[in-house]
Amino acid sequence: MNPDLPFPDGDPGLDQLFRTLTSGPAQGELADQDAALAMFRANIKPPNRTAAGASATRTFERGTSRRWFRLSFSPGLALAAAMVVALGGGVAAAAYTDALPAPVQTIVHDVFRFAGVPGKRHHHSTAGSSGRGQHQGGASQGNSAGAHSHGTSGKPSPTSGHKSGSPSPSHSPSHSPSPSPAPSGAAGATLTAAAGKSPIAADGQVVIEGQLMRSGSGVAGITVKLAEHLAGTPGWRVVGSGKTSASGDVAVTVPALTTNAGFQLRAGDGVHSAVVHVVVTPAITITLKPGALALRDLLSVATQFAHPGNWVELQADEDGVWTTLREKRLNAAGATHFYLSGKNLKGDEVQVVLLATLRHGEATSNEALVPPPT
Amino acid sequence: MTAVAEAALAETAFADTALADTARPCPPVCHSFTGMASNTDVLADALARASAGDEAGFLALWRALQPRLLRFLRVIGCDDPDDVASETWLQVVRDLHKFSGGEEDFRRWLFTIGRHRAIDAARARSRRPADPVSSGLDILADSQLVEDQVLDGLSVQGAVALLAGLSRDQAEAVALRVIAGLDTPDVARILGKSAGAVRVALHRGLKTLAANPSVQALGARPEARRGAQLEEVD
Repeated sequence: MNPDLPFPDGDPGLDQLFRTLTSGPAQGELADQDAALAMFRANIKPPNRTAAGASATRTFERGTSRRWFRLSFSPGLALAAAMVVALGGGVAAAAYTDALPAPVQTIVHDVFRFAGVPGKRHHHSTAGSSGRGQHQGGASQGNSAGAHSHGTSGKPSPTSGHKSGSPSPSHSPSHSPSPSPAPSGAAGATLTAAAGKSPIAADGQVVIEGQLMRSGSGVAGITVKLAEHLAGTPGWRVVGSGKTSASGDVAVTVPALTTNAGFQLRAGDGVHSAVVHVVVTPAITITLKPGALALRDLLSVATQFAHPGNWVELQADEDGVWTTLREKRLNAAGATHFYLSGKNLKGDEVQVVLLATLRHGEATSNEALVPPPT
Repeated sequence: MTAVAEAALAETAFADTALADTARPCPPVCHSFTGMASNTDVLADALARASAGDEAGFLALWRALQPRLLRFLRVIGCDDPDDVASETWLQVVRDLHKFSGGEEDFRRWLFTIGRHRAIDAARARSRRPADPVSSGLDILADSQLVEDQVLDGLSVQGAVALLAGLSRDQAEAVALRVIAGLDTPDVARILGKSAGAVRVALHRGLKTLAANPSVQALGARPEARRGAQLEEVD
């Protein structure tokens, strides 16, 4: 026995304790996997490939931009620095594009259905619903139709997207509508599911549409339950149900969704759909008070359904490109503020982007025009 | 002594020699313990791919480390470990392009960020008292329930609750050493302490754990080991 040790050789209790602490994932520990992947896709930035690129990117990441240099350095130095940033950014962007491997289609498709792949359209002539989710008939058709037009496709990328609305790489509008895969259940029955719309505005409703089929025909009159898993919380719960129509269609509405969630339709006897993911977009608004602090303007940022500590980026329009100037975290009230220099930003439009997290998608504020100092 | 406990305890035997072995690598058993030895190459590859923007690479990293991160956060008393873990990964992803290093460096970086975010969250919470949110750990803090956990076969939550019962210094040191699989110098750097102080904390923490009737019961009840074989549900 080693006299330095606090107890005799052999401690299977500690051994067992440590093995448990380092064991594989327990229930619920990987529940937010899909949301984490969505967060990764929304926030991953180009890798540094060269020293110059690395330097430029690091500088940029500290919340700087060409404008920042203009504010801080002499004109000559600012110009040189701006060129470094621009070139570095270009190289990095290209490297990023090149470096992006062919996506693992199953993962991407599984996860990024929430970027707006609402799936097959169904006719809704069903009846009956219960619980938090409510059955919805024809109205869901309208929601489905709006799914693509309200996707994230028009949103500029967090750091330097085109103001005109060119999509970021991760939010392609070209997804073709397709229902989630339909696991085969009892007696060869299959149940598909699709979200009528994703992302949705936080506190909005989403319609989960499904179709129960057997041998190529719809199965009518079957009660289908809708289970929900909210990002950041363990487990599933049933939030609604509906009955299939003559064509096997069913639609269940989930009202007031404020957190990213996965949904699954369950028809019993082991028949269930694949998980459909829905991203929610918190509301974010900005208000500009010119000259609030001498020559500086106060830009107040308010959010709803975001969380304290979430990151927001202040962006300015530079020749049609949104460029990140600064970044801050939301305070306990879900708000924050930036002081702007009216002298340097006069005539420019600014906006604030709330970055995606596990619990919500990315959101962009209204735009505000910075007036010249008076 | 079993290999696992022996490795952890052997290190505490150097407590009196302070920094004599600061360069000593994490004992091999540490990695086998954490199940990372065989996965090191896989994780290194996943890290490289994630850094290049590959989602599958990130997924592999996240699946390997998210459970450990959540357990660590729970041990140090984080009120909302899921939220803090989310914040941690967000910062990791945002700064991944600036990261350079291997799998072990990444682990150290991840847990450092996680600890900082947990501290931030605790400060924010203290400034903004909120309604207490029930968590599994709150319930498990009840010693009777922990006993039940032990008798029924130790669950991860039960094990976490046992560690969380240590003093903050000891719990952090043991959690970073065991759950995160970091070596003592790395733990010392994260905690801002000397390696000697960390070894003392480890020594005392392990001694306290070993004296815990629940831990002793684990050793006396081989059938309790079945609890370590947790099913993967996600």
